[in-house]
Amino acid sequence: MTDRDDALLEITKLARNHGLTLEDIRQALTMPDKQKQSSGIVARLFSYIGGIFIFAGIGVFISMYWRDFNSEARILVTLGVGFAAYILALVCLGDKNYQRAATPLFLISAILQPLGILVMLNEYAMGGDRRYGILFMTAYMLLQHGLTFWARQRSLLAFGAIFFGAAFFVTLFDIWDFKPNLISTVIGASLLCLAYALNQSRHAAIAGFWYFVGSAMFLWALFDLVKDTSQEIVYLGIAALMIFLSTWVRSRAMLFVSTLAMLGYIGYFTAEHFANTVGWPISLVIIGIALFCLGSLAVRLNNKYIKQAL
Amino acid sequence: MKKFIRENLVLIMGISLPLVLVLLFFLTSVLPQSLGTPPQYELLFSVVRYDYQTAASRDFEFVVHDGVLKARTGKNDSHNPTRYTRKLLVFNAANDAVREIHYDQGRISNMADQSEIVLPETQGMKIDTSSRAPDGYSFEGPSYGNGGLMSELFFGGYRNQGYRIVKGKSAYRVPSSFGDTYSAGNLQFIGWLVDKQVKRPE
Repeated sequence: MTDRDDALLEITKLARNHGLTLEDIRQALTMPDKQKQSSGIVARLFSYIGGIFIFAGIGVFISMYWRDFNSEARILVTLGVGFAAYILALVCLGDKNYQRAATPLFLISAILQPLGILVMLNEYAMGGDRRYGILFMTAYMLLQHGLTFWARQRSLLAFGAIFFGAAFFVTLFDIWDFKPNLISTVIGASLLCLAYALNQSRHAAIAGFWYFVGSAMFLWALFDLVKDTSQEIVYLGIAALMIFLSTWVRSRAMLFVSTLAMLGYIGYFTAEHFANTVGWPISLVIIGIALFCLGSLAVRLNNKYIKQAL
Repeated sequence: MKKFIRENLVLIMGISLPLVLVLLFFLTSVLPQSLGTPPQYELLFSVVRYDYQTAASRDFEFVVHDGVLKARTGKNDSHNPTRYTRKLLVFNAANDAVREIHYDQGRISNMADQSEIVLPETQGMKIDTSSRAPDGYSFEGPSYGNGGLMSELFFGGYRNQGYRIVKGKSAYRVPSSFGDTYSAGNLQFIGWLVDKQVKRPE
């Protein structure tokens, strides 16, 4: 396939994911929009800076008067403001002129609401295991983000739903005292599947982050599971499989993590088994050669299978 | 439906993975517990707690003779007062609750060296000190790690098992904290309260 074919394939995929018609694409291609695009960027820049100022202002106000606030005031300035931001974001989504304001408002609500719930529990809880508080908070946020995503189909809400969902299950499994490695392996694998599904949808922008987190969790926990066991060498095969998968799903983040995992394992294996036999300097040379080879392989894989498709 | 599953197979797998783990947990842990008979006897244990306001000149320990709980005093040492207090606690596994038996520690401190006293608060209690209760449940400490593949896979032996009372696959964990009264790190097993059987909560 040529670069042109790859580009056409990608355009087709994007058009299908976003429900774009031939007419939409034709209009976009023929529209002289340089002026409009430039003013759009400036407007967006100012709106982001404005959002940061508002958020910083709320943060400074809360921190200045935190000690003077009673319990109700503390909850009001965190959970109250967070929930108000969430409602405002929903209202903004309904109006075409204010749709861009929804993202920063959702972001503010996604930070302040969990904080507010934890403050509320801290103020009124009668002791007990704090993890149940975190479980309640993540369950509430998962429901909120999940249901809103269902209704509004925004990438940020999908991100929030996945984040709070993962946090919910990690907390739940921790309360049940599962092995941390088992938790990380399962949640990591789950995140990889979700990232793949996201990559096939209109929310592909957030897939890279979850590929990174999922593969890092999965490979890190898997190494801990097989370390110092007879199955340790299997890790090398799994890291290689992940590199292959990264070219299949076309994810740079996954390729980066998998390559790093393989390099790390080769380094660990060499230091563990060869440092005392052939000497540490020769081991370092072997690691260096492995670094060169894998680095070059990763760059080639990226250029051949991933970069062209993106 | 088939078409939806085929098109979103990976997404369904991603959502299902943690749910499968939840299901496995229920099958291996909650199900045997709910199907089995709950413990019939309460667990009596003590914990030592540091209290800077306490300065007793005499330490003591709990002992059981002929099924009766007694406090046995150590030597009097006014130069090195102990700042530790012993809490007496009862774990009711059927209700998953811990209650404290309050007693007067001052009365014990005023006794002579190496003497024993039956606490009025525990008078009438009959205690079995064997590690296995008459109903078959046994007490196991945190070093327990031989729970089969599933237990090893899920809980990893030592780390978080804590103190438990176990019978076959059915296990009840002693809560690791009870208000601010104790942390179970220094739990000392005393015995089972066999004078009365626990009523299962309705």
